[in-house]
Amino acid sequence: MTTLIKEVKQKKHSKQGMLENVMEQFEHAAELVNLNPNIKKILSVTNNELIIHFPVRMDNGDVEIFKGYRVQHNNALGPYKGGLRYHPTIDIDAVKALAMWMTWKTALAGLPYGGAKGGIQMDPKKYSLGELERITRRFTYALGDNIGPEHDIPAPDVNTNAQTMAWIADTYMSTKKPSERSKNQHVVTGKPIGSGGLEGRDRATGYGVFLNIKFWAEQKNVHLKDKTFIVQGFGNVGYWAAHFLEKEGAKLVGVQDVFGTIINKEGLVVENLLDYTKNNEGSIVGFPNSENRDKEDFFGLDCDICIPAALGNQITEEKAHQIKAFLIAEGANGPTTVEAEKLLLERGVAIIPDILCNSGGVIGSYFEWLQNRNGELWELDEIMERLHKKMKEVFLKVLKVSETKKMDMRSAAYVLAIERLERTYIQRGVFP
Amino acid sequence: MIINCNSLCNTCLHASSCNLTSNKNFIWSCSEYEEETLKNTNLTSILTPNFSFTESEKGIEII
Repeated sequence: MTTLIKEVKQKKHSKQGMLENVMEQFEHAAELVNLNPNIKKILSVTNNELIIHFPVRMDNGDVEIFKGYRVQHNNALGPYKGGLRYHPTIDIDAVKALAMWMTWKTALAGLPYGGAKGGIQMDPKKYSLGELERITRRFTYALGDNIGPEHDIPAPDVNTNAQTMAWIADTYMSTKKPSERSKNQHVVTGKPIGSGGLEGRDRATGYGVFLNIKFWAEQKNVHLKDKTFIVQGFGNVGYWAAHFLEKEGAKLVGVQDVFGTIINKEGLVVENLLDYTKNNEGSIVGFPNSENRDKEDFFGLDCDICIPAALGNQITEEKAHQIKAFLIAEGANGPTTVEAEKLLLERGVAIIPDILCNSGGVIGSYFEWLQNRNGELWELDEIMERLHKKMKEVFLKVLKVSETKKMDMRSAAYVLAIERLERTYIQRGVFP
Repeated sequence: MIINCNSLCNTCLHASSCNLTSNKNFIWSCSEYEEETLKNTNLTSILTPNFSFTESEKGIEII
């Protein structure tokens, strides 16, 4: 049997390297939990890999053929769940890796979901809005019943948004008979609020990052009031995490975005900074009473908490030596390299891993799905309260495993996710 | 600047001036990622159905 592990070994010089990274993490976690070898075989492969070529008529009347992907890694815990990205560089390996990662993420969060990912290999900037709509709708039609509200639930990802999800939902629902259309609205999550979307979905990930920091602080008897923090990335995740931390009395002393790095030891007021960026083409640079810093100095800034909330592979071995924070909360996916993490843990720096720290987003998606499924409309306060409850439950489980098994929080998170899947397979057995 | 062809930075509007990182390889998600403005993002293109294709000769039907 060809497993993903074998495939990775065969593709030693894989351009992406992503599948290799995800498989390494899985191998490590499987070893830690002494995973049943038969279950390891199942989890090492994807259930389904769909590659679809579909035609779309362009504005000039010509027809263009697109390549779309949907990889469904595992559905032992429930319907497949994962984003759809539109990008010229996606290929089957990248989609497989991301699908597998979704399985661990949903399993850790205790959601009734499996893992999937997909997308279309294309450069969206080359197409008009009308063309993008037709591409999206034609892809949805081509996917047919390979997606569905109780089978596989896509969500926004790179270059896709609430509008894309609304087109998918509308197309999917239109293929059903009239009496069944409205009960298929939860075929996607991340929809616009007026079309079944969740109130507060924009802040779910950032709020989750904040909650993880808060729970960690409570457990370690650390008071957040007057603690200093820095944020890399001032997008949805970085901004909302900073917003809630500031409300708790902590002080934002450094921010880095795509345009520059700014600091103020006395504190940067989060709302004022957001307003400033709105009138400054999105840039934080030049914010009143702030000083500019070189980008290479960012992770070495004096602070108590560091929140990398932009992109992966940023905290490298070199940067790890400079870090002064006692806590790193990973808002982004994969911001700390394996070598850097080892060094940081040796130095006693705590790391709340991405798979736990930024899971507020997927939990928010689950709430949207539930809301549509039950024909309900939830209010913001209720959503935030439910998110708080869910995140606390997961955080405490990870911390407990980490302390009882004397392992770092990332390993503990993977152990919990894989043990949950293993337990399900042991209970259910393998058909026939 | 050399960017791995499989990195998101490859198509990011800010790649050449990005302040976040010098390492632009193997980036598969980024909160600051932004594509160039889409061409012809005129709302009428989605609100007004374009039936002109029905007048042209139907060349191919793949699926």
